[in-house]
Amino acid sequence: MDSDEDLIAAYMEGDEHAFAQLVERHLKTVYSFAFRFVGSQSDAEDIVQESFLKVWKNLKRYSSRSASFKTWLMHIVRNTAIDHLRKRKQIPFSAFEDDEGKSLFEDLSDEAPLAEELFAQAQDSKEVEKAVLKLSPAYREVLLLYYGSDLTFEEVAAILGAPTNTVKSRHRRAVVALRETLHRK
Amino acid sequence: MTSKRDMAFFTKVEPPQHLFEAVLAYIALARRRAARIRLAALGTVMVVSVAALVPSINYAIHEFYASGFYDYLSLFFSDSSVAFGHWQELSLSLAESLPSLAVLLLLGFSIALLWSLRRIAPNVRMAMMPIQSA
Repeated sequence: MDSDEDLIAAYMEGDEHAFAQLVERHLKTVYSFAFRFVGSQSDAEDIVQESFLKVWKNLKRYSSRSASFKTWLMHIVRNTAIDHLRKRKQIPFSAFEDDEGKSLFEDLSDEAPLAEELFAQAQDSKEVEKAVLKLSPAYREVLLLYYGSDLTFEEVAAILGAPTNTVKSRHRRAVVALRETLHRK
Repeated sequence: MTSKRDMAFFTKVEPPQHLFEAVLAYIALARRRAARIRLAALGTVMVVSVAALVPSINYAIHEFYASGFYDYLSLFFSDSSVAFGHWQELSLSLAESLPSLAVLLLLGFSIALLWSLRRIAPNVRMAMMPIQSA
């Protein structure tokens, strides 16, 4: 099977089908991220279309030396999804503020939770899905990229433009917040 | 320990069946729109360069005669032995009398015309491309 870079090179040389193959290969990952990030099918479809359009427009600028194609693609998808939420005025938004505007994270313990254990405890995936949508976008994106897009912490850090340790700590806090949400139900 | 890939919530969501075609159609539409904009710009360049080429040719011809360039050049054909005997002085005179502005204008408009003609064909094809809606 051709690598992403081979397909990009083929498209640059005039093979129109190569770009379609690239879309087909990553469509599921991109759609899954977008759908779980915004929680709506039609919005997710818009984000997917907009993201692939940006990929097509900027393909000449992509360099495999700076990042893998998947990392680059998910960076575009993440930014498009955030722009989409901003347009709909859903950012800034936090489901973790009490009536006085105090962040509930301040009261959360910072123990490293076992995410696998947490997800196994959740009765069904719908329950987790709803809880993830209640997280702030900053936490949601870390969970979706790390667990949902098969990326490493290093790759997630490259997508978010943050140090790996920051991403790891944000992941830990996201899991703590998710556990709080699931327990509060 | 459960692998992160095994967790039910994070298994990938199947995209709607029409989405793949919709993405390609969306890109094709943007491509066609861009081709039409390029076509309009190239068409303008072509019309302007054709319109400017005629006066710039006339201007160049006039300048070639007025500057004496033509007279120096004709020496090579009418009296070649003298011309080749004093080729260094003659070359200098030719360079000095060359109507550079007229030559620049003529070259500029010619290049613009050729460039626009060369780029128009693929854009016409793309601008007329039918889009299959998903």
